[in-house]
Amino acid sequence: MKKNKNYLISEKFTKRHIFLTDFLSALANTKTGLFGAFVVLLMFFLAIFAPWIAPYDPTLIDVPNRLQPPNLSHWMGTDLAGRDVLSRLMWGARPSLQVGVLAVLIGMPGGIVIGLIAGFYRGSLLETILMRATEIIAAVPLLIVAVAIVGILGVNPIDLGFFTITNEIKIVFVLGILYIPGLARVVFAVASTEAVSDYIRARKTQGVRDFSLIFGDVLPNCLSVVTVWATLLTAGGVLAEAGLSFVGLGVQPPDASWGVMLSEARKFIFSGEWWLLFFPGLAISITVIGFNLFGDALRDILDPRHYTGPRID
Amino acid sequence: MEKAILKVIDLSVKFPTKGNDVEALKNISFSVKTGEALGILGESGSGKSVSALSIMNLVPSPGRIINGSILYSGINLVSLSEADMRRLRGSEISMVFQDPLTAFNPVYTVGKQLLHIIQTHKHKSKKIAYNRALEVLSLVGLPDPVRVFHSYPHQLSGGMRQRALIGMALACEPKILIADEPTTALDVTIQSQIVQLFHELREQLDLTLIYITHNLDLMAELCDRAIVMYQGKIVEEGDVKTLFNSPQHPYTRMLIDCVPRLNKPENNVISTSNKNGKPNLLTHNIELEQLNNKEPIIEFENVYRDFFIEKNIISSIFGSKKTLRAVADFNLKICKGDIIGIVGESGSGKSTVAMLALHLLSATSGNIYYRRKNISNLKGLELKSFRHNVQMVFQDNQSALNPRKTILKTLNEALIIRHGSPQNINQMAEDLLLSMGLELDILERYPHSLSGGQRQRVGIARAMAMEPEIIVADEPVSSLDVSLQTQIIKLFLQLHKKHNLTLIFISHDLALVSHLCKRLIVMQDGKIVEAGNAFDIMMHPSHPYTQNLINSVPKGITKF
Repeated sequence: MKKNKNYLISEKFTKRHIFLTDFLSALANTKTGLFGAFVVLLMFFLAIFAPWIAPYDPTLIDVPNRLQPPNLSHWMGTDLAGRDVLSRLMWGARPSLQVGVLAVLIGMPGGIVIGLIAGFYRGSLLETILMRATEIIAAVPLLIVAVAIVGILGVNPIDLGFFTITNEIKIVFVLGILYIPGLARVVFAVASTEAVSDYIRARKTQGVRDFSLIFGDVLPNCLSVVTVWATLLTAGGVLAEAGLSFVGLGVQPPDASWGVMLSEARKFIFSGEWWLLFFPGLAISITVIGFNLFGDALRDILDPRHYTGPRID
Repeated sequence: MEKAILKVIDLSVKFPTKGNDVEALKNISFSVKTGEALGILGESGSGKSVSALSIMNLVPSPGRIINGSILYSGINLVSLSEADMRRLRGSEISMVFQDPLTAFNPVYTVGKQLLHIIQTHKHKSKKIAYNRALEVLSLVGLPDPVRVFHSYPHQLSGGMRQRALIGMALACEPKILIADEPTTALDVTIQSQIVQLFHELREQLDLTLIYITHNLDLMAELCDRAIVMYQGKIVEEGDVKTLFNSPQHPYTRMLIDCVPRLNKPENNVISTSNKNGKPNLLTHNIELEQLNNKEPIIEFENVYRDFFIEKNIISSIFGSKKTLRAVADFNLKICKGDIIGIVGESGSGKSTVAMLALHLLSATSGNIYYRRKNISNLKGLELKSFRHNVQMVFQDNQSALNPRKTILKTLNEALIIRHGSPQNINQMAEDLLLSMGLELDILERYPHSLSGGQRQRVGIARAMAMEPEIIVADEPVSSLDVSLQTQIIKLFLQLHKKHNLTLIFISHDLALVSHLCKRLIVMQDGKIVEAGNAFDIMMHPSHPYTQNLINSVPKGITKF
């Protein structure tokens, strides 16, 4: 028996190892997924290390060197005020990812809890109330409400003394709340099929309470879908932030943001200063595509039905 | 002597997977003569379906034919182009699948799909195709061809769907019909009708039949010759009669021995007869009387259960709820140590009875008592003890285990509920697995990497972890191969003896139930139509429905 115990421990140890290498090799097998993962990692790297790796101060005005095309000292050229486009691009990754990630983190708990409970009690009055409520929120167009809220509250930071609500926090909260219905729907779909499966019945016959069934048994089975959705919604957040900053309701100039950069470059569309539009546009496109590809790859890897790796037996 | 219409020579099919390739077929050769019915017999994973699919050149990717040839009247199907093959499929060789619901496209009517096939292959006008479609539908014995023609697949019953599917396969007058487990998903009575249909079709049309099944008796009734497959190889081949009467290969012998049969209880490994081998009516009756005097552990009293089919605001306001009566006027006493079999076809309400006994559903009216206490009034500790003492084993071993939890975790959860958190919990889980005949190395694995039989044993282990008095088993073996079925049934009997377990065993397989259970209940449309000593019912069924059920079971070998 002792021999068996040792065997089990070593098995346990290798199991995690196998899972991680499986995950990585599965990711490496999908070229698009690998590209997506690379883009996602790159953007996070830029956002986190912008202060150290950006060659210039993103708000440093250098009028003599304004509107320079890409060259050796300014790889992506300079803008109207002579600021380095590359540095602004790196700093611009920060608000984009902040909004993208934080909005998802705010929307996720609500969406998951509502979806789980509604799915578990499918057919009950509780389900009707929860799901109809989320549908009401879902009927509200995302960007328009964000514009309206920022418009009502104003773009200036609201000082509460101990805490300052910046414009980004407003956007993050609005987006987060508007994310709830989509997440709830997705979780609901999975949870309602898991809730009627036999293993849940088996747990019920053991006398387990619904609460621990919902969060202990159903939730882990929903997590792969949630992960994928979170990735896709992050891309949505990046786009929303760029859009709001573009119309002047997000990040305020002179701070750098991809939307702000595009907005400032509007005047130069026809005059030939292509680098002002091209690079922030490229950054937004690549980020969104990257997150989407990464999300697709995650779905394929995490869904056991798509599981292509070796069976562990 | 007729010449072979289809010849398979040295066929090998490989499924490349990471690490090592799986060889699904290893150099198999067989031939089919014109007008013959060939049976291909084997368990899941034996390669019987793959061999059928490779005849159609439809081996599912990533599998591919790596060697060998398939000759159909001189043409090598393996080297045929996809376009030529498509012309052959349906018009020369056609196929009937196991699940008649997924084999139809749900968004088109049966008729439209029929017309499509006829028009693609025969290039006839719509009028002629329509007439041919109706002709085919009446050929397969559908009572109202015009209605079936205009129906969507979901509007037909399982048996009608399978008939329509066979009709579709026959629409373009193929020479060869391949049937891949065409009756496995159907009830016994419908199964026997379909088998009868195959007999008639073979007489009327000059049809060559390749019949794939795991059911020996069914094959014995239908086929002239059979090949037995095991792990991608043909282990035995011969005409059905000699195959069954003197099987050469040990695997074939094992298959034949495993199948529970109605008429030969003395042959059976899982016979419940007493030591001298002959089932003794007298002792059965005495046991029954003793049971009647005992205290019932679970008692059903005039239990009804309705389901609302249409539940919406309008119907609830006007009080016109459509209901379906799943269980009606159900009375049953179950005593400690009883093994009760509940038999019925799908829709007879037998699973609902299981849910009621477990208090996963509550009765619409009537009372269910556990140790003289009404289970709908149980609260707190009493409910807890009820939950601990009544456990369930499920049909679908895949969905019965949480895919995200290791076997150890699943078992430990149950053990913790029963015993708190004992120090030696892992030891207990290991002992439990060993007593189920499982190896310890599966403890840290996830359910998806286990085989069906292993998963079912884990399911039983989880139920046993609660140390229950009663286990309700809802079709616990119907998704398993015959040889595994026997093992699981043996396991149930062992547990019954060792722990004086009460078993409620729900199944559609009469033969199986009659061997395992002392008492038998036959259900039809939610009602008990016959109840009593299992042996008596099997020998002298009084209700016409029971008689029909017993007659429908394929007798196979006993006809020789």
